Amino acid sequence: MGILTWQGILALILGGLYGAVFGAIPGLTATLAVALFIPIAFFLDPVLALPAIISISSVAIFAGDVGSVVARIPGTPASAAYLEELHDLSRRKGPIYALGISAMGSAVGGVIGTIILIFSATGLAALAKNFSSFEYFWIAVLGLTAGVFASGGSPLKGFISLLIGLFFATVGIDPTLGYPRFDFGNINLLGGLNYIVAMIGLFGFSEVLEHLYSGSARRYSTAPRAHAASLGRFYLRPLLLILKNYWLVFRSALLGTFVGFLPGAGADIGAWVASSLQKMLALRGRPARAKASAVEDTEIDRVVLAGTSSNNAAVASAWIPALSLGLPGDTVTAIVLGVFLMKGITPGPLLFQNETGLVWALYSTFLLSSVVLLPVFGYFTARLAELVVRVPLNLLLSVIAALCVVGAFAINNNPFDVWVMVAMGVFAFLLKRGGFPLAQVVLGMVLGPIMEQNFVVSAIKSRWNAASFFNRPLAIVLMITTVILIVVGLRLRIGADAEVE
Amino acid sequence: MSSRTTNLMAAVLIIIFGMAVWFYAGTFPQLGNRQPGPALFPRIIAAFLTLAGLTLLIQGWREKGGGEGKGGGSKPSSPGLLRAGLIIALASLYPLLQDRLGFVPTVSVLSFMVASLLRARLWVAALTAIGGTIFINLIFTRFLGVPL
Repeated sequence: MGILTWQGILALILGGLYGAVFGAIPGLTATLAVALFIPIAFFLDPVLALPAIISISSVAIFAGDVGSVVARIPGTPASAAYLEELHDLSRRKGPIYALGISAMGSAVGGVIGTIILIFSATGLAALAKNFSSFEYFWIAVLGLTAGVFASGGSPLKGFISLLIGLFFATVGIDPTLGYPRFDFGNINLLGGLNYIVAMIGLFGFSEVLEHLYSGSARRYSTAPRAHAASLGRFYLRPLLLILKNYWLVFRSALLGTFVGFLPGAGADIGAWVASSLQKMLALRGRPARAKASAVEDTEIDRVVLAGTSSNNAAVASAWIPALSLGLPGDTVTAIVLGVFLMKGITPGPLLFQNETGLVWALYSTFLLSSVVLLPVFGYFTARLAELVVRVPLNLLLSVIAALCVVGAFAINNNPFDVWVMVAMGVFAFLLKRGGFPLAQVVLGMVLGPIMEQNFVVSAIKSRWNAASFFNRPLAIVLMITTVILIVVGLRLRIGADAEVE
Repeated sequence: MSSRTTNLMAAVLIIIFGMAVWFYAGTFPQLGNRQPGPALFPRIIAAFLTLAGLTLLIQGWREKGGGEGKGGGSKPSSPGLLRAGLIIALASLYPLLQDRLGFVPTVSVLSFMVASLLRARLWVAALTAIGGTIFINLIFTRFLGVPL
């Protein structure tokens, strides 16, 4: 059985539809969608089950942007990197155009990621093997640094938000002695704070509180309603934008691919670095104090394009260590490895020789998902999003409030998560009033455990010798890149402030 | 409230928080040979938080007059706080109420309250709340197989 049979095509379409629904609902993630698909995957031929998983995860990750457009709730930590810009873009130019950039950027990023996967899976996997805890520590630092400069406003406030996120990440069992930290005797805190629950509170519930506080219930979208021209606004204009900014898309997709294949939070770091780089360029020459409107109108499109093309390029590259080395790149590929073993397939270099049919089915699915599924499902979800943002805001917010509570509860069926979500919402409401960015809190929560764990492992391995962090070639490259990012980021901001004064 | 006042208040809170984390982390055990253990990362974060808070305090102090904060320069709105507080209380009670009333009535009440506090017509708010909740329930439990 192949992927280009009616069963294969049906598996892709149903997988895409299922992924679109999951991705668009706050609290439901691509990982949960794939996890719930396991019982079905068990009964399917691997040539159908694995492509269905690819189509679920590709479409769900894109559909996470629908939450950003409609309810200001990002679907993944990676989409939090360009949340403000995507939401702003939707308000100014309409959700069809905003999601068009997201879908087309994801599609092109996905194709680039797949091409790299096809031609260099084993080579990249060998490179991944050279990454030790030292390199992982530095790559987490690089991602965090990018996050500071990705904030539209003051880098100091971005840094404080990041530190708060890092603090949240320390709640629960610590990686050195297994000692419970900041749990205050509550067993629900032993496992730490779930960042998906935090995202729902930080972005969704705080939005509801903000409107209740101000009493304002204006509609989100101020853009004219689309009719016949919607196809052009979804496909044509974003494609023209991609053609005009081909180097930006290529650079971001490369970044997503090369950072994305690293097991852990590769995809998130890729998207953050790509959109942060674009924001830094966009903010060049603009003073930090005049950041109320953050990024220029024309630059917003480019920031979204950078983040989204990097985001989906990483979906394909996360499979590189899974296929070549049998190491999961993320939770989805960890489930995929489970499916491999369930079907008696051993991942590793021999997979490319023994299971060529399966490998090519996977490659074709990645391409089909990017070239066909994302544009088609993307268009329908964008039309739906356009209808949703036309709903009076007071009614939309009432449904968002319900979704926040239900989404937080549904993750673990734990009432405690609802309280965490509410607390995060209140906290985010206060942060916003103080002008502190929110996305950096999520970034800190996601990368904090990776940074701490790899720092501690490296420190213990080297007997607490600080010099060991600076004497591996790859670690030095990552450290220098981080320093360059800090210097360039600060120079751009300070230079801009000095010009104004 | 001016951005200067907001920044000064935020800075003081951040410094207090940073110091609290620092001292609380001091109660964590150490690894053998006096090597840092579970307290290391929280203390690094606490130190940076305190330093960042101090920098914000100095920046806020130097700021002349100050523009308007995110709050739009308005005084804290009592009706706004009351509306937000009511929904915070209702959402916090969700786990307790859901056990007694069930999913649909509990979430419908929350949803209805948000819409009506934002001045939606009562019948529209009620219809949206009940319809929306039933729809969410169907999507989660029937279509996606996620128990609520």
